[in-house]
Amino acid sequence: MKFVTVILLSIVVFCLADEETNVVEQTKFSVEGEIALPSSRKCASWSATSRILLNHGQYLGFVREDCTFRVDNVPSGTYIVQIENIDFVFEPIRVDITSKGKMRARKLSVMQPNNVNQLPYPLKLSVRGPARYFRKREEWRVTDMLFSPMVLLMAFPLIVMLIIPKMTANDPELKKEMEQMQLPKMDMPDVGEMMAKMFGGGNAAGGQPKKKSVTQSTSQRRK
Amino acid sequence: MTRLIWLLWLTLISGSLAIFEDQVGKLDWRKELVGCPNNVVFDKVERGSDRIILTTDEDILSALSLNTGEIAWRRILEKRTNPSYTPVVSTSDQDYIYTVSDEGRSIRVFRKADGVLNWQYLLDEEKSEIADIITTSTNIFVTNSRKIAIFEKNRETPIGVHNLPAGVRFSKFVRSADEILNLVIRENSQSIDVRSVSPENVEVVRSIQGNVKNIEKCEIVGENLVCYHSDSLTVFNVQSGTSKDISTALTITQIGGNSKYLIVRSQSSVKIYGENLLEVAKIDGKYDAFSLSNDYLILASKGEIRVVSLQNGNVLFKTNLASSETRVSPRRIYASSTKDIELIVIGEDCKIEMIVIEIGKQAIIEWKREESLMRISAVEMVDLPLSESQQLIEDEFDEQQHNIISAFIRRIVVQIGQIRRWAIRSVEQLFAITATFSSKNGNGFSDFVKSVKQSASTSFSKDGPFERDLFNIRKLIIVSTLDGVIFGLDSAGGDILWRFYLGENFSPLKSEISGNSQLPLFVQRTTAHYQLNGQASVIFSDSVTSNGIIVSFNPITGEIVSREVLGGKIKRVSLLPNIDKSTHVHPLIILQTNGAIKYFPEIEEVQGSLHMLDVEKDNRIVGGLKINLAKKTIKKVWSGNLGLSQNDQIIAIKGKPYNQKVHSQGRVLIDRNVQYKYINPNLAAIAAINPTSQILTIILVDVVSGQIVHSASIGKAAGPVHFVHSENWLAYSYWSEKGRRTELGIIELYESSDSPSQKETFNSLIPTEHAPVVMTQAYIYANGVEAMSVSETEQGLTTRSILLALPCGNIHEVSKRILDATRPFEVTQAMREEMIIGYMPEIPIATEEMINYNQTIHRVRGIKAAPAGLESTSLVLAYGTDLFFTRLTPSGTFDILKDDFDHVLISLVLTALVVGSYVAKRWARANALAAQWA
Repeated sequence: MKFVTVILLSIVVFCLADEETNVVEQTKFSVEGEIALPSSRKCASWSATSRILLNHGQYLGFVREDCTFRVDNVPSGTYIVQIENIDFVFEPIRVDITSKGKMRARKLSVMQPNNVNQLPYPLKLSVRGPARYFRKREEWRVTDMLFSPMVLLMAFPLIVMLIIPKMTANDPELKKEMEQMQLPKMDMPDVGEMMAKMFGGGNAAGGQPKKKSVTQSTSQRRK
Repeated sequence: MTRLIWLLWLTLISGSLAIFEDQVGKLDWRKELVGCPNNVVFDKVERGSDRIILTTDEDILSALSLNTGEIAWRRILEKRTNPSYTPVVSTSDQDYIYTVSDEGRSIRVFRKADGVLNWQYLLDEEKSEIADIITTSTNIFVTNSRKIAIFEKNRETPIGVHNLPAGVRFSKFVRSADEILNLVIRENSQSIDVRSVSPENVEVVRSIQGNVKNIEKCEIVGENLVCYHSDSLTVFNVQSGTSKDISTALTITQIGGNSKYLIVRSQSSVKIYGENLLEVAKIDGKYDAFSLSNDYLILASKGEIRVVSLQNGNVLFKTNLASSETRVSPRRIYASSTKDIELIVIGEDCKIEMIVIEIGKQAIIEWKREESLMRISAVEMVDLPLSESQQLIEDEFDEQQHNIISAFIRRIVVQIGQIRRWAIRSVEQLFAITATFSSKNGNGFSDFVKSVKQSASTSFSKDGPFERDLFNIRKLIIVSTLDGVIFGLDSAGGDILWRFYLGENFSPLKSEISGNSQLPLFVQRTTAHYQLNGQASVIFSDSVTSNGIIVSFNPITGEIVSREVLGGKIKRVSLLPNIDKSTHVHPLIILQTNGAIKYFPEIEEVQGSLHMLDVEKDNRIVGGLKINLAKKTIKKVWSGNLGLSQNDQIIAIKGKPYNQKVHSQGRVLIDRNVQYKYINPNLAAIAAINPTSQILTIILVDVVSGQIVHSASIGKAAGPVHFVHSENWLAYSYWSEKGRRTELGIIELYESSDSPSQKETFNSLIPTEHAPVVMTQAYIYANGVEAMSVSETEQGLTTRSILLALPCGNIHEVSKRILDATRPFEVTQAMREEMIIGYMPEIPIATEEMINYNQTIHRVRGIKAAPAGLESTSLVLAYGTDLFFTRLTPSGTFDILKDDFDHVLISLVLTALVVGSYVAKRWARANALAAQWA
């Protein structure tokens, strides 16, 4: 049905054009089209803040309530059609008007201007996406923190330190084996004591380290 | 693969430029404007808010709320190319506004409620100098200088188009008893043609004999056409076709009226004529504008508004508007009366005021709008004065005597001062908070939140002392407008702190190169010298004598310090880099057309010389002038056409700001060598375009020596050309006819490796063995460019950003790293490590990079960037149909904490660590003890 109306319309346009050429050679033409918005937005309110720019504002048009537009008084030539609005991003389109008023629309590609990617005329402009102007704030998520390399680097040895002795506690053979491996000789610094050293003031700093190693090895052995 | 990396990189870059959604309005503000109105229509509706509908000199149609003056909607129509063509003409009915726009070519019908287009029709393909539109209950009648078209409402095809004969100078509609008549005056014609216009046909019904010399002095008054000439008045009766002359014994300046009364205004009085053109009353006094509403005649002058009865001329109400010295005479007034009289006053300075007059009681100014801000010519940002405590500290270190006791006392005094100031501020804040609580009327939570917000903003901008903040981010923006008004704006919220009008004989200067009007603004003394007030000056010419006038003022308070009239026309004006030792003022140097040189303020001891570029635009001759400052003589050092051909038109010339700081002297190459920038402060860039061969020529010339440092031609190029000249580079935009797209070019200059680098001071006269190394590159830009500017920071360390104003209303920030002439075609591993971006032909445009997000600003005239106290931050004001101000961080906020910095989390972690360490300490001790006992 729509197709038929388009044909009818084009016939009407053609007839009109024909009529006028009989009188005077027509040199100015109109660029027409329609905008398709996502179903969530209505044209009636959206079109109040939008305009159609030809060649970055050389010619101006306004969008009507029903989402159609027409830019009048355009001489033959090549034009870039842009839709000025703040809500959506549209694909820019290039329109060529021949000296006889024949219209040809194509996708605008600034990189390869000779590349032809023909589009229907009257123009049908659809939204490429909503215009996003803002960055998203980084939200704090537990998973983000847990999987951050720093946390992994800290947590994994901690788990190993805490769980492996517990596991070995039930199995005396394994425990013996572990002891023979003499793993604790590396002298792991105790986190709590390190903190104490750092924040607990200088008075304990002199005597403590020696004691520390003693206590650590003894406690290990007792286990 | 490379594409993927590129995309990844792009997302990184765009991420760092965009702002967060919750930052909206925190760092930026926008002021929307409508322009200087040329017609105001009151739109009163039964329900809801009353509005006024404005058409303005800037060809903008808008609706404002009558109660608040806020913009309900605004439609920006085609801008006139020449002021002689007709402005937007409009009429309205219940639901729609009917306009003739685009210089009389296009009929557009907008919905009154929200400004949505209903229908449009192309009336004429040619421009017209006149246009008129009128509506009846069923039809619309439109005329321009060639046609009369008749429409049915809600149908966009005309039911009849009637061609007018050639040479029409005046064509207007008259609403007569039961029909619409059209009056046409043709060139060199001795008669006025009256056409009866109806949907059925248009025909000449009669022709009134009479000679109309000056159609500008003709008005439609009621059903008559009234023309005036010095003191005589001719009234043409359209119905009967007769004319009547009366002498008023006044030199008429304005006429007006309605179907019953005719009002004639002269310089010294106003006369009311009633039926049969009998004089009803004469009111003496100098009035500048009048308006009729019901039975009232409202007269307005500079300081007075008077309401007069039309029946007998009795004064019903009279009020003096406060501070009449600072007021400007009204240009037009529009009145509407129901119970009270609502009056819209448009001043000569384009200020719109809404005054409500309760007859017999009072007149209140309800709101005002400063619409001259739409025509900004120059912008400067000035630091706020030092705060009291900062001053005391300055004082302390300023003192030369080293007496230990006095220094100690001073220190104590400073500290007491600081404590006192802190105490005062906290008390003030407390008061502000209690005031907001007490003013809460219990109108719900949203009102309360609003009031808190308001009080917060007012306490920031008004109550707080007007002084420099910690990072010197808050500035005072001085703005000069082409309507002759100078404003001081607060950069914190855009409030107008002060304003003054330059006077009735104001006329802006005209730029020889661009042909645009200008009102140059210079800051002669900044606020850095805290013992002295700042000083700024504007230069303009007298509209009568065309002599130059310099007005200097205090930029912080807006007080006018002096007004000096020069004895001749101004040819050139510039700020001298020399400083007057005693007053710390940078004098202005003024070249007059008669060859005289003047300084303002006058200085005695001045030495050295100044070089200037002299351009004869029409002859394409560029020359260097050497001005001996002491002897006040001018010598031409060099001159030539720089290779410009007959058809080349010089379109723009740009030097570099004389005080620009460049802290990064060079660029580190991939082989760890340094390539030094060719930073020549005497370099000027000249752009010329040849419309026939479509060649854009860009020439970089040393003004002192006349040496052409670089010259480039771009084929198949067309305007508009914009460029930015900064540091060692020049970025420019042009339209490429070949590619049918906008392209951005960049030229970078580096010192050739074997020549000794002039790092400390540059001297143009030291000959160099090799010319500087020139690197050029061009990029595709998929949008138009309306204005171009570059960010400025305190020390010039931060990577600059280029700001491009787009026709769709956004301002796009492009980092200099992307618009760079040294981007390699092939990126090696070593380059990748250095984060060098490979060449891509297109500069991507992402909506995230728009610094004004959805706060669009149209018809951008310029973008002004100024440094803040923080190196990372640049302050930007873009001006066009709106003003938009924001803070820019081209390389991110590397010197301050991000505003989303999680203070709570970090303090929680810290306290947890401290507590944890104490617990652990105890635990460790207990453990150790237990171990010893074991």
